[in-house]
Amino acid sequence: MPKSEGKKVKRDSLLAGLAEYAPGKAFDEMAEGRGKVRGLYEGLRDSLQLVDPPRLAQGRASLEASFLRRGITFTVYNDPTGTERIFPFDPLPRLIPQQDWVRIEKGLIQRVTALNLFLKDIYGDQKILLEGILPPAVVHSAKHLRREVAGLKVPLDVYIHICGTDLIRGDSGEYMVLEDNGRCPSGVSYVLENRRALKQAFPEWFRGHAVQPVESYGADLLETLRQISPRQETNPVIVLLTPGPMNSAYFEHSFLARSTGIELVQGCDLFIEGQKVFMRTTRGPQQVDVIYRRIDDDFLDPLAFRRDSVLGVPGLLRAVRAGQVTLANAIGTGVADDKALYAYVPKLIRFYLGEEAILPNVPTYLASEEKDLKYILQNLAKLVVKPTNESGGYGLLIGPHASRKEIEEFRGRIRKDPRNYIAQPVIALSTHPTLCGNKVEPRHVDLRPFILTGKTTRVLPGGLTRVALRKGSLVVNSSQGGGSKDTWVLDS
Amino acid sequence: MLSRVADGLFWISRYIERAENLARIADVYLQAELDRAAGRKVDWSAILQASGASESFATCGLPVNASTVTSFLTISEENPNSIFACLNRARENARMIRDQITTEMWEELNRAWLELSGSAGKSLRRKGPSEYYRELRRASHLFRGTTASTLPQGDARDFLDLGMYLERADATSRILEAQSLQKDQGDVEERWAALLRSCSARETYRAHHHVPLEATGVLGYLIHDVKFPRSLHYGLVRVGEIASRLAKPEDQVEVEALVLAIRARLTKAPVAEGTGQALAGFLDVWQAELHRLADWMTERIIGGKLELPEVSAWHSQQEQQQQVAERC
Repeated sequence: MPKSEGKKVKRDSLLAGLAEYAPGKAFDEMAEGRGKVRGLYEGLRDSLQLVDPPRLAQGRASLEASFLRRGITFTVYNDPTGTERIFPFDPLPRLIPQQDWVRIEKGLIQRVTALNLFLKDIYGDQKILLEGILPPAVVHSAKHLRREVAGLKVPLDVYIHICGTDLIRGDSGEYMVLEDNGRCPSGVSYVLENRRALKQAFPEWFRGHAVQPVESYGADLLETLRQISPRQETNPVIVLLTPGPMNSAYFEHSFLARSTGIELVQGCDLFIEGQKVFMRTTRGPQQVDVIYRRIDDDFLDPLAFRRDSVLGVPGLLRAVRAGQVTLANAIGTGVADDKALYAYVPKLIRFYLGEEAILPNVPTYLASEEKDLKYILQNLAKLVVKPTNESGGYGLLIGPHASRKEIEEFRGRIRKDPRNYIAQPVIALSTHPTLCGNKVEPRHVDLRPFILTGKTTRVLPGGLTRVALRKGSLVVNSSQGGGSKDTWVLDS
Repeated sequence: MLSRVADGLFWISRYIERAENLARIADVYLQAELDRAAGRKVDWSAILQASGASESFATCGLPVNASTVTSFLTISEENPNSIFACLNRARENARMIRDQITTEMWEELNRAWLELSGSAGKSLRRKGPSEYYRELRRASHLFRGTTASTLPQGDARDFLDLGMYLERADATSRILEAQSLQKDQGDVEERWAALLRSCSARETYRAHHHVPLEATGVLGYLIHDVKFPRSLHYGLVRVGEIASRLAKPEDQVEVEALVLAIRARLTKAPVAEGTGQALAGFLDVWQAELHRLADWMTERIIGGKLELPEVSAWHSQQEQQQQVAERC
């Protein structure tokens, strides 16, 4: 067979693949049905059809090489060879129209505003408990409640400066909040790197689309951190506190330090003297005003929290309490992203803002409530069960995909410690066309927008679209076979 | 600048320079080994000794020959100072202080690491050691050039340069020492040519010396020349300049005195006697002096020896770094 003919066959099959793209039962971002592309995606589909298979292969190879060359990798734990892997990147971008985005943005700002008011209240007057809106047990049994900061005022009354809220879309395409990440949400570096990489590999796809830029994130983050400095009269010294190069998100830490120009420090670089925080430099000690910390509360200060922590700074809590340094996020925000509290967030919004939630929750059953517990135990095979204090997609039970043995195991666990579990109906996350080998197939996606709060609240247009690369899988976490996509918010 | 960052920059530079010079030594003696016709026999144990690797090599129980020694210096896991190990540590340091160097510098170093160490390195070595060592020198030069053209003047540049010149002053002396310790000194002209070549000095030396190669001229060039960038004198003078720039005002007098004392001793190098035990002994003293100078600078300029945690604490540190959950 002559070579050119072989090429033609291949090309036809890709075209056919696109034309026959058939979404499953879940809401699909691109197609309403087999071959029926929504108006939003028509431009992109046309560009895709113009891509020669060799060009596509070459573009993908150069994408991968560029991630590797730039060291955009995460360390694989428990691997003695110290292997580093790239976070898989799917080149087909996810599109969000302006009108959807406006609503999402409003909803996110509303939600994070309410959570900040809640934290101020919980570490202050606790009106929400006194007025009986929220059962005190939900707060008092939360693993990440920090009694050490009760009564402490924080600059601008902001606790969650950096938030990453996970959104999913239900069967009819409605956006819902899956969880709030108010501790150390990660992934924003991929938003920026994915955009940069895609622009280089497939610049032609951007033509004809007015894609909202994401580059301003570094500047916005810096501005947010400057606003919370306890010494407003001087130029604040801001640092990013990382656990260190062995942490899986170390790339992101150094990326953010570079894009804001702040110093990347480890616990051993800092010390406390006279309730002030200093860093050790070649020109002597230098006082630090703001710490964007990417380590958990537990590790922050061995004198206050975990005693064996070698990542933190002894005495840091005292400096925080003395108002000499601001932490972003503040200590104790974990109580706001507890999965049992999650169920009450719409109530919090009503209580603090007098508004209805713009972005709904996923229906949630609390095992700690007797009625819900009964329902959960009767319907385990239909539900997703989540531990309230875990993250990263660990410790989940996905009922319809679980064996009888697993279900019985969870039944025991839930009975033993009901406070630690919630259950939700299985929501088939929306799907998005994804390049699988040489074919374009639907894969499940979610969306994590990033929200910055200082004097004002700003949302980075788009966010990180995570995609479950395994067919049929609903787990998008990077640690469990997830990849990511560039996310385009389109100006209409 | 953070003391930890200064230390990281200093060591990135030292490890790159160390890897480059190991490649120089290994390459030049592999070439010499091919010149059997000249009746010359390479003494590989002398090369181990000059590279400070005799002891760790001895524990491996391998015979001493071209292939065992070069692979020990290049890839061996038993050798904490192999080229691979140096590349790994340079890159590990660079990753740690990634935010302090330019993207171009990082990419150059990361590329070298991807291509020249680990499994990628294996495929390259299949092309032959000479090609591998050439690539390695090139990687080092690319990193230096990228640094010079992208990183602004300032402390970061100074700490990188300090590490480079200090390591080079040490490494060139080890190249000379490897030559001095050779039992079979072989054909004289060829020996001096190889020595110059291993320091990339053959052409520049020729341009200024139109007489046959001989000891005083060649050794004088590699030790005393004030313009040749790999000479001992040149390295020491640059180290002195940078150290005075970085030192605190109260340490100025001391740093200048330290460097001057080493310079004074350098003038007494026994170059007229050619290579041999006298020169080797002198170079040992020189290396010890540089070592003391480096210790002083770590203490006074970088900001104190960074206290390395005990092994057990180091492990728990690694574990904890991994435990910190990042919600992605």
